[in-house]
Amino acid sequence: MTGSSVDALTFDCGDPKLLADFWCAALGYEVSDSDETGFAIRDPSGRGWDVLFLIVPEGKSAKNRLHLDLTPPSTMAEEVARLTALGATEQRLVEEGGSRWTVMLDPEGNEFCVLRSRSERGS
Amino acid sequence: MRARGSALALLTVSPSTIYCLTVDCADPDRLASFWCETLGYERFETDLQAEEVEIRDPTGRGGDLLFVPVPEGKSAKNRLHLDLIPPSTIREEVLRLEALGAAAGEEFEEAGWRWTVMRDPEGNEFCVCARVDGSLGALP
Repeated sequence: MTGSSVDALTFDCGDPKLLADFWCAALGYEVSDSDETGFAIRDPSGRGWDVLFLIVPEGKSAKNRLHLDLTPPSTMAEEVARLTALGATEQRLVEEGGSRWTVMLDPEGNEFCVLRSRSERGS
Repeated sequence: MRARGSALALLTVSPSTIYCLTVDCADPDRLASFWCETLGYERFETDLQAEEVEIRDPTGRGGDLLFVPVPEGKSAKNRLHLDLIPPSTIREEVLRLEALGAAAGEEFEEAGWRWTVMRDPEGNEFCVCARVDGSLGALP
């Protein structure tokens, strides 16, 4: 049987515009819709998932159980610097099982990881 | 709602791409099986750590899902969740996913959408959605 399809990845947040602007710049997405309850952003190439940012009353209370892993266009270090300038926070560098990635927080503290680029991974 | 331009100046810089959505869990194998059945995804081999399971859309659309074991349990409502469009009606898909181990919660209708909140076998929230006008997904 054909399965469901992913319509969007939704973030609960306090400031949808703040997060939409950050993630648009991070991913090269564009705002596709907005109103007083939230923002929708999409990949102009049509490849990536849509992402929604919806206002919720409660704040973040624990480490997220879901997070995005990103492949940088150039190098991990350059992308970490670019995302930091956009409002993200570098949390820590992890080296594990021959792999390496940087854990970062978006402007509302949502964890995400910047992996090594394809060229840095040698593939 | 109205469409708005984004920070076009920043688009001159090559952006990151989403490699995957990673899900912290207690039982990666079980959760990967549930989500493969839910989305029609398939497992594939990568250079993963032991017990990690990665699944992808065989048509190449969307991102992969990666399930990694963590020691801590879920302690709060997730701040991130997936919204799904069913291949049939919301009701039929909710029944199918319940049979796979999901739990159905509240139903909502707002801003032209109807959706049912569900939880996967480890309690991660997701929604099965359709547009009320029938343009995406189907009712009831």
